[in-house]
Amino acid sequence: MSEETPIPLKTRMIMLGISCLVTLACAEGLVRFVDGGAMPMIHLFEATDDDSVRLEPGSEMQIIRVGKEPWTLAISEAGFREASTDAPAPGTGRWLVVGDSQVMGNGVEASEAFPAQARVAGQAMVNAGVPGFGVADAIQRAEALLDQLQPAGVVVIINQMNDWDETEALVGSRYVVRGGWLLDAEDAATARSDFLASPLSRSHLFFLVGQLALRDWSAPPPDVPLWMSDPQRQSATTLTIARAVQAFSARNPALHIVPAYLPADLYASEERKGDSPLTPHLGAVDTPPWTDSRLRDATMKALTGLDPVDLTPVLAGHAEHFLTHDYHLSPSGHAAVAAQIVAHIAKRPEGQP
Amino acid sequence: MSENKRVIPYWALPFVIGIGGTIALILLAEQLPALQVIYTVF
Repeated sequence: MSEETPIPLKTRMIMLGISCLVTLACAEGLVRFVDGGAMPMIHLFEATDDDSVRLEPGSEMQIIRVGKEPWTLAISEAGFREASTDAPAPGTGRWLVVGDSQVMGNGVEASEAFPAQARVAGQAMVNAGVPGFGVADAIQRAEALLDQLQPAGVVVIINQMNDWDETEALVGSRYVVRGGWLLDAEDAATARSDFLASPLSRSHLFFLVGQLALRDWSAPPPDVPLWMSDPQRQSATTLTIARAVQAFSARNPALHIVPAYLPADLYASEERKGDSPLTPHLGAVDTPPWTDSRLRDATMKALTGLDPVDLTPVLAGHAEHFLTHDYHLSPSGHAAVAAQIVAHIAKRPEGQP
Repeated sequence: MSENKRVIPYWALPFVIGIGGTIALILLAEQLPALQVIYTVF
């Protein structure tokens, strides 16, 4: 009977090491196959020198949509959301839209976002939306682009869902960029932040493991927003927002500026109860959100003297105008918003800013 | 003398455990409602 030659320990270790590497590669491939090569969060952010953030010009990624095909986020070399990174610079004379993720078109393709669908004088609007922006950030970005784009007008989206919580500081103070990911500033010194700053976070496998392992499962649910629980005491914040737009208009008297009020999803439709992140807070309000126009009325009144448009009528009663499991506008919601903005602009006598 | 037969060779153990664990992780991430937050875009 022959005896087997024992495998040296060193050889066993090498074989184990190779096996581990092959396993990691196969596991990474398996996760990428399942998620379609998409990540669940945007990692294209860059910090800028003016206490702001931007989406990295010339960058592109696929982002997961639960239960559906991923959507593509592509930023042109000029720094605007386009269908592809090599889209040409927008040129001058087009309308400009500034605001947050609703403007950028979170969850929809570039061609479905309302700036691309809103055509004035035969030209689509320039999409300068950046997730995380408040109204002050949006106006700051608009003013930085005026010389370059010489826009025919500027639409400033006032987003009920976020903007009343974002007047205290610019986006660069409220958030930090780590490894291209945007994190709350209060999370800047956490293990999760360190992980996201490392190259490991670009691995789909390690990102999944990291999110599960580093998530604070004991964290309490978010508090009810003050603008939701006590809209009548938001006058100071509402005035801050309105005055920012008024000051922007005063600095650019020849420019047609259209502030557009975008309601939170649950304030547009009762049928959003199953999907809205505001649903857990329903017990904290005295008026059903879908019937509560207090914040909207106060905002439109504060914007008197400008040329505001209220987007609530085209969204009211249409739960389908918002994404499933997400408060952002759906393709049909973007289409409705685009049509309303274009119709509103068309009402203004020609030649009058 | 009887041979000590292994079901899985030692060098294949990482692969079996790793891929099995990854599949379990994927199924877990897709099933638990709380984890759907991970897949909520910014």
